[in-house]
Amino acid sequence: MAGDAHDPVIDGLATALPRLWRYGLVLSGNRDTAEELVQATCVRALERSHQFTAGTRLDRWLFSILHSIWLNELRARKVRMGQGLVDPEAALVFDGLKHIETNIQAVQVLREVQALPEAQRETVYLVYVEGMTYREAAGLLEVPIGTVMSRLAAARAKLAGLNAEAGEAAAEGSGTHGKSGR
Amino acid sequence: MLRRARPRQKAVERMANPDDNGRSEDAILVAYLDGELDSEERARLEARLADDAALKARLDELSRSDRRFAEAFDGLLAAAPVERLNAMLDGVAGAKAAGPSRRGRGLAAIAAALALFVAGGLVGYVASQATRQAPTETAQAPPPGWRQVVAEYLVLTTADTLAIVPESPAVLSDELAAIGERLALDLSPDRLALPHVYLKRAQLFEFRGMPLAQIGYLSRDDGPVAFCIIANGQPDAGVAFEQREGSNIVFWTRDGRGYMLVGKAPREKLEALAADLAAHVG
Repeated sequence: MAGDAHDPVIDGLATALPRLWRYGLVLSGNRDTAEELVQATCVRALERSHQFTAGTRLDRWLFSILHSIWLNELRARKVRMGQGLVDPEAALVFDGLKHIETNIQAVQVLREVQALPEAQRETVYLVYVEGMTYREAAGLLEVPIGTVMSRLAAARAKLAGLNAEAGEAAAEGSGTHGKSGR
Repeated sequence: MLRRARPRQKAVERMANPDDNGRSEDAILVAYLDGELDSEERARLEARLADDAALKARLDELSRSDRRFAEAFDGLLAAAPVERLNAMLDGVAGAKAAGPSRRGRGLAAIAAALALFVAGGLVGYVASQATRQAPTETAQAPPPGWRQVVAEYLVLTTADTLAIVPESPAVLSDELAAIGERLALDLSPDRLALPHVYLKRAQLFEFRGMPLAQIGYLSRDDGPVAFCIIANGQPDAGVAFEQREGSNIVFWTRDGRGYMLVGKAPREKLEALAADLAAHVG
């Protein structure tokens, strides 16, 4: 397709598309916006492909581009257009889950994560889903490591609490779940 | 700064006590759970956990937040619109490669392609990038009209783009209903059915803040044919013909909506199809 048969950025983009889309969906809670984010990420990555340092993780570089587009452009637009930010939980459940096999446990986890405030949600996603180290997540989000830590701590406290509130229904995910709650 | 701790829970009090680096105890405990403490810190914490029951209790409490996160989110990957994303990437990469000697042209093509996909700030961004790269070319040209943008976008659409759209009459019908609502038109598959070309998909875009529907057909002989409707509030205008970007275009305006039928199909064929659509839709 593209001129350079072995443009590493194009190759990397092609591989990363589903994960970029998922990241966009987690951020925006909206399938269409997720697609817009991926498209804009492709355009910018190709424009700036010369800035990519060979030997570093291309997917991380792409993630950081998507993150900054969301933060600086699309997110603001959504707010400005008065759509507000869709209730991410509802949107993800509605937009994402109807397309995947119903797995009660997975659905429960997605709901819990999407119900977190955006900064916590994104950090949880990068560290626990994408498997980034704290340092990598901090670099991508351009925040100090301490911020990553406090976001995760707040998110986990909330998840632990939600878990207790949700009672036995949500118990399958964690073996230690008891009746005590908090 | 010490926040006022709620009396009912010692753990909350602890949590609010930052360490030397400003990290809360919860943050340290979570980092421990995540294997993010260096060996020295870990040893220190483990020593404390051994004889601090409350700290240990807090750790246990926090560990209840363990989930199979990665597994849960794997399902979303399967929901990604992979075909569309790939087609989009091909379009963007192709547009970039198309004009290697004139960088501004490549960017303009990308901008045009994206203008249909995205709205508002993002278009502004892409446009501003294009302007930065090719100041003369973009600055002097008048902003392209919607038919030009659609025609440029169609350059990126091939028969394959539409062929890979799975057949799903129910989804299509829902999409059309939603789009029709935005345009205040009755867009049902019945009204849009055309002879010898197949209704494949419906998408809603925005062009300068105006809703723009693109209904994609696939003709076995002539490839993609797109029927586009924009709510642009323009005065009525009769059916006319033009060519842009190598495509034939039949267009008209009625009741504040602009219509166009665009594709590689011969003029006569497009005009016949357009008459059909005008009779049923606009």
